[in-house]
Amino acid sequence: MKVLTLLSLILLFNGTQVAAAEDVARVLVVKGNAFIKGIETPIELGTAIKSGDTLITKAATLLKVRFIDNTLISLGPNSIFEVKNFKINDGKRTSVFHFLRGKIRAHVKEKRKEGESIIYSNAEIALGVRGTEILANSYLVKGAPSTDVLLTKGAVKMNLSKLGTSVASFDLTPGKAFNSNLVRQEGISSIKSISKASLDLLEKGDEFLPSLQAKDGSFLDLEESFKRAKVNKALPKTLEKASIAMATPKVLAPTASSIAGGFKYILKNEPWDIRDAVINREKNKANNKCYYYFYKSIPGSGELERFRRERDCNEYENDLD
Amino acid sequence: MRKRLIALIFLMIQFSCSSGKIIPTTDVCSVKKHYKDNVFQVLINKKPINKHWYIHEDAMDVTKMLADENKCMH
Repeated sequence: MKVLTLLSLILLFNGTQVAAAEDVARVLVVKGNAFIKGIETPIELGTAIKSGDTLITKAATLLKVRFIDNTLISLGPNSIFEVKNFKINDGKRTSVFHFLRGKIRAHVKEKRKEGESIIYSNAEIALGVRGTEILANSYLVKGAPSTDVLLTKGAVKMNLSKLGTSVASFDLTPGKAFNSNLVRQEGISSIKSISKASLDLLEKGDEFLPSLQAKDGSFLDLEESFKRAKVNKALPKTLEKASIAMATPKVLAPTASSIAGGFKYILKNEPWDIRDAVINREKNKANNKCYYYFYKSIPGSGELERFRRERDCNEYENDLD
Repeated sequence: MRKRLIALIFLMIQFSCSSGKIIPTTDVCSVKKHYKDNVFQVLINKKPINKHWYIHEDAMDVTKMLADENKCMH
């Protein structure tokens, strides 16, 4: 009987844990139709994403989410992206993402630290990320998988063991464009660089990477398409087609936000103590009332909690003195 | 009388030295975002000045105050 009671308690406790799963990301931009797998309600601005969720975008859709570590993920049309595992323990991240289909642009703003793990993978490759911006595609050509990856900055360790090539891993550097089927056919020497000018164009925009392999199996020369685009004074057609992101963030940017010295607060996503400080800053400052925050571990919980304290606006401690 | 004169000269030398030009610091102020929350810590040469975190505008204000006190560059 005692054992049964104990088992019931354990099950109840586990159930509570599942129900209280933490939000790991929020939707910043959604244009078109996007869903979380298993939930019928479409994704909206501010929808919370949890570890284990799979995001699905329909045709002509753009979805942009921001994770709690400040990583930005944009998904293009007809994409499936699984947040396989995302957790931060003692300030250290473990994140595993599966980009199963479609177009993805991931900007990992905070570099991977010692003891952290950030992996993006699909059926063909796994990318060990160190802090970077990746553009990747996962699609089918004549029924077989094809994967493209391009870095605009940072570094990525690619695990190619599933491709059956002689080289099991490869360090991808900024500007190098990778296609899994081209590497299968011609080896890693097929990984070519695009020019600095083309890289700048990609880096500054919000576009997705065009598919580097066409439906007939032929491969796109990315640099050539950029050169043609320069002559036409426009982005490559493939980029335009691939992207519907060019002007959308402005249209869909939430109204309840505050731009402060380069940092933009999306007030509806902020906890009350930060939201209140941002909203009432000018009024409080006129009364010489400002705040600081500090983090403290509550006995028994082990987790750090945030506290707010009032201060005079011209006062700050300088422990370096 | 002579002792007073010496003391006066000593004081003049002392004060003339203290009015020298302030050498501008080359230390760099910056702010760092909390890994999870949108609050910021103020750093001098990448070292936090304290364990406090501020909303972004307040953190920027603190860097300006530090710069005014010549603790980092403007």
